Amino acid sequence: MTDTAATTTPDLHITRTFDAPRELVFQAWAKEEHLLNWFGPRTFPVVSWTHEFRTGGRFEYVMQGPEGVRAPGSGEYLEIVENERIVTQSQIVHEGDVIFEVRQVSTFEEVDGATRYTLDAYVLIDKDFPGRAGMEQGWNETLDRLGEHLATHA
Amino acid sequence: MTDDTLSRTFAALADPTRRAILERLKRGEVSVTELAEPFDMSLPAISKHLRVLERAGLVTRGRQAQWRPRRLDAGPLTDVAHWLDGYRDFMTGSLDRLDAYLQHLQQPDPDRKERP
Repeated sequence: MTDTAATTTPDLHITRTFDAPRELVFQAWAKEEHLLNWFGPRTFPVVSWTHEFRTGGRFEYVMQGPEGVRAPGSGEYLEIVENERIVTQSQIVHEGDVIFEVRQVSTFEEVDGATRYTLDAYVLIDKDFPGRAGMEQGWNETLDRLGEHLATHA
Repeated sequence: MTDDTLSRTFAALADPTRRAILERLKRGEVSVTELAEPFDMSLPAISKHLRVLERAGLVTRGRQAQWRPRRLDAGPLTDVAHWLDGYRDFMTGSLDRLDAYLQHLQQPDPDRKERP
């Protein structure tokens, strides 16, 4: 794969261990009906997802936030290695302009019957103005976490 | 941010109506009258919430009594200006849901109806 991903530091690096077999975790990424149940944070979940799950296949989704705010996204599966790796490049478009583009490399590793998931994301385009939607997502999540924290510590 | 300001900010955010007001303000300036409408609340009640938010430094009133959010300087309440920060929250939130969903999928009960 020829791109900068192999040589630059990711903008976002997350690792998580899921208490589930690798095949199941991978399927949660591979099947539309699964993705509908978890993609997107609680305050901004996806409400539709369609894709062709193969290298070169496209995906399209719509996220829905508070008060019915809807935000579409789409992208391409650059590489899929079953049960091991998914590489996507996805975009958010606002009024014909690409305002956010990210390449995500997801890897799935079996560790003692559980699955270590790693995300390395490389932001290729990140425009300021519609930081508004990013603000809403980040802001909503932050407020929700804060609200929950306050409620449980009241 | 002083302890006092922080306490006022936390108290301001502890109320779900005030959090909803803040979310509405993120989409643009708004008058008290416009704000009161979706909440089915009296103007004095909304004004009271706005005053709490204003004292906590979270909103400010501009020209023609239009309310808008104010930036804070520190901590978890800092405005997100770039997509990357929202994206980080987006992915961590997604992975939290995936974690719960995977547990749900592995439950033995075939009649499970609840979704996380």
